[in-house]
Amino acid sequence: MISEIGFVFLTLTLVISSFSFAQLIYSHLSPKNFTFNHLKVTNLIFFFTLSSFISLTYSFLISDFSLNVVSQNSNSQLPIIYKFTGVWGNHEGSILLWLLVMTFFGFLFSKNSSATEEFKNNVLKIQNSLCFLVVSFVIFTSNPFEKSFPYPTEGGDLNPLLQDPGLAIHPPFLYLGYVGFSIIYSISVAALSDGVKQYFIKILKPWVFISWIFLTCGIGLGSWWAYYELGWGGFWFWDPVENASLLPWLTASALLHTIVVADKKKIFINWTIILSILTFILSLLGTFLVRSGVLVSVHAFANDPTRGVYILLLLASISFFGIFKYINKNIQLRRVDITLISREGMISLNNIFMLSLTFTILVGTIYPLFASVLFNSKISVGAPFFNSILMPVMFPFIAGMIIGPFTKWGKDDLIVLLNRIKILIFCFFIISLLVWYLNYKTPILSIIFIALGCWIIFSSLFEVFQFIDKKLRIPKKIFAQITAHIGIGLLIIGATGSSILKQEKIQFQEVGQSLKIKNFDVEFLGVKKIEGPNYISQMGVFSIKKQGEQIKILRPEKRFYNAGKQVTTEAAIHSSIFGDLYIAIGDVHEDKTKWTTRIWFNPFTIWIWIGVFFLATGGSLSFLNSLSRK
Amino acid sequence: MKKKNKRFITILISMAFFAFGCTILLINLRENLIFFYSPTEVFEKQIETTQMIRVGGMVKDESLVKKIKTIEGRQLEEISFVITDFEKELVISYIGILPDLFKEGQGVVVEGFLKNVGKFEAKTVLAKHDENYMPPEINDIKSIKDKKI
Repeated sequence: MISEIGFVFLTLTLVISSFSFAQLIYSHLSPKNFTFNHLKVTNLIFFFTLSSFISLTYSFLISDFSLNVVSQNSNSQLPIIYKFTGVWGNHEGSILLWLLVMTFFGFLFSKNSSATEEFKNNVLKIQNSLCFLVVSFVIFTSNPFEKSFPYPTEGGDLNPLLQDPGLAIHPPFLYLGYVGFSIIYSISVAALSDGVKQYFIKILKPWVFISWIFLTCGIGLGSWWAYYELGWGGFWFWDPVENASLLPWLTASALLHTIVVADKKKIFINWTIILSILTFILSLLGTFLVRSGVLVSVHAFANDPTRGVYILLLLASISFFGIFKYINKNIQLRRVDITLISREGMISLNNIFMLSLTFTILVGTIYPLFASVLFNSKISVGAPFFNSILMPVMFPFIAGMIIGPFTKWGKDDLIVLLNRIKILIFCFFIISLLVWYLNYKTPILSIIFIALGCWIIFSSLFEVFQFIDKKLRIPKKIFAQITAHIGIGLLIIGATGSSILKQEKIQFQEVGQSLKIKNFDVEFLGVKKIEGPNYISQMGVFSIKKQGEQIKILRPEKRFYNAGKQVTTEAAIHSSIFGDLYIAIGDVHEDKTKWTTRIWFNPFTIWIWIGVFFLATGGSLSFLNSLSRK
Repeated sequence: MKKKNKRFITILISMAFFAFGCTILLINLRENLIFFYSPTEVFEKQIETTQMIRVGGMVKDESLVKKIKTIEGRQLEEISFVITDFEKELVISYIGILPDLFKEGQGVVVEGFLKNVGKFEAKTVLAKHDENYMPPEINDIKSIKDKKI
């Protein structure tokens, strides 16, 4: 009964949002325009979609197996929290969540007071039309309220890999980021037909920050989940699905930098609009790659190719509309000359590098797709491609990142600039020697990257020091930039440690046998059988000793889920600021005394997560700042 | 006029940089491509033993064998199994922990090097997240398609 109501609400969303869509089309066909209040549509579709989503959630919670999505992705044994997160643990539900977030952003925007009513109406017209396209996708290709009769008395299982708190919160965050770019698209496209009054930058700014924060957290949570749940000992695999989330993140990061200049200097306005449109297109491309299953990915879930065609049409029409609007814009902008050694110049440089990275990763990600269509050859692009091409780009990128914050707006001189930061350059020299001294045995590349990471952190601290030295209060904007840049520095150190410096041991380990890795002794104490709420687990017990003293017991598991008859690996990790000791357990040998164990030492991995936290904090500070300055 | 020249030169330089970047990109791409073959293709084509490739097919029933090997004083478990496209078979050996969803009678993709004829040393057995998922590459192998219909 509740599920029928849910479907009715979804249909109502389709009908009502179609008004906005119809008006959008009509306004382009006929010069005679009629006025239409899109605000009301926005409010209605948000509440209808919310009600529909609540109905679906309710059906999951009461295990209503007459619904196909529930019977395929949930069962009565499932712990209540995973019944709840199971709502978006499947294609249909996750697209409904996508729609909900989209209408929610429209709703939030309609409450935004700083825009004029007319501009607001124009933005919401586009946003509602986007919602119309998505809701039609939901209803026609992936209806979560589809029923079957007779229905099973017991359901299947939620994919055990998804029965994990890390993954449970990862998709909503990622979607808040991805879909947040829809409102950025709407604002930018609306601004194009509005003659781009400059105040639109101020309206756009907080939305850029908030979406970027969510996307950053979403990617961070996703790789954290992959790190401890998959038992592969890594956090990033250059997999197409991972790359898909990185692409809009890179352009959004470029946008983040540009919009600051656009706001302050009233330049780069065109460029801001292009980046906004591009970011949303890349978000959609990401969704297409993940949801259509056209690419071979380790993260692939079962999916349906007809959906891919629909998303591709969606992608094409939204891109086309954005480009069409851009070409037909009526903006008169003054041209300004920018010198490289200036804040504007450095930010342009940042954008060039960000977009080069985006382009490179995009080519690497979709090339296999082209190859299979054009040459009918099945290929994939390996991680070495991404590593070898990104590394050289990183050097000038980091150099710009270090010098950038010390340049002056307008025009600066290189000699004067270097003179201003001569103490810093001297410190870099000391830091590099120190890093080299501490790690001289390790590969040269790791020394370079760790030193560069330290340089970034140190130069950010130097900025703080400069303000303290002059007895000035640090402006909030600068503080946010410093926090985010420190985050990048930490991220580089963490990523270097856990990739280049990683140590791995795989072997048969007998009960009682002790192994040495780094300065840890790992003693295998045995395997216990544990019964969880809906799984049986074989839990290995390992005693971790350092200089003969036990510091921790680690318990990696191999879980067997009853309902879906699936096995998952749960790695056990001992984290410290110097590195993670990471253990995964495999199968038992026939003689029942030996187990395959896989032990890693991943240096500095914890700094990746701390780095992401710094990035998100920096973003949040900028966001709060952009709100308070209205 | 002078200003126009300056802009022209700027554009020219940027284009040159872009072309240079693209060339490096494509050369790099070509070096790092990993080709996918079916077991039949592995036998038909001349594949260098130094070239990393991917091979996919169905894991043959009851072909999974685990042996103990000692390398550098450590005991290791060498896993071997046979993948087939119902025309040719290929023996895969692998040292490591098999992904959770690895099962006999199901599709699998492995990445590694071809040793000698009919033997393949896998560096990675590609995991998947979903038991119903079949890598599209395997689905496209004609003989497997025929068998399933």
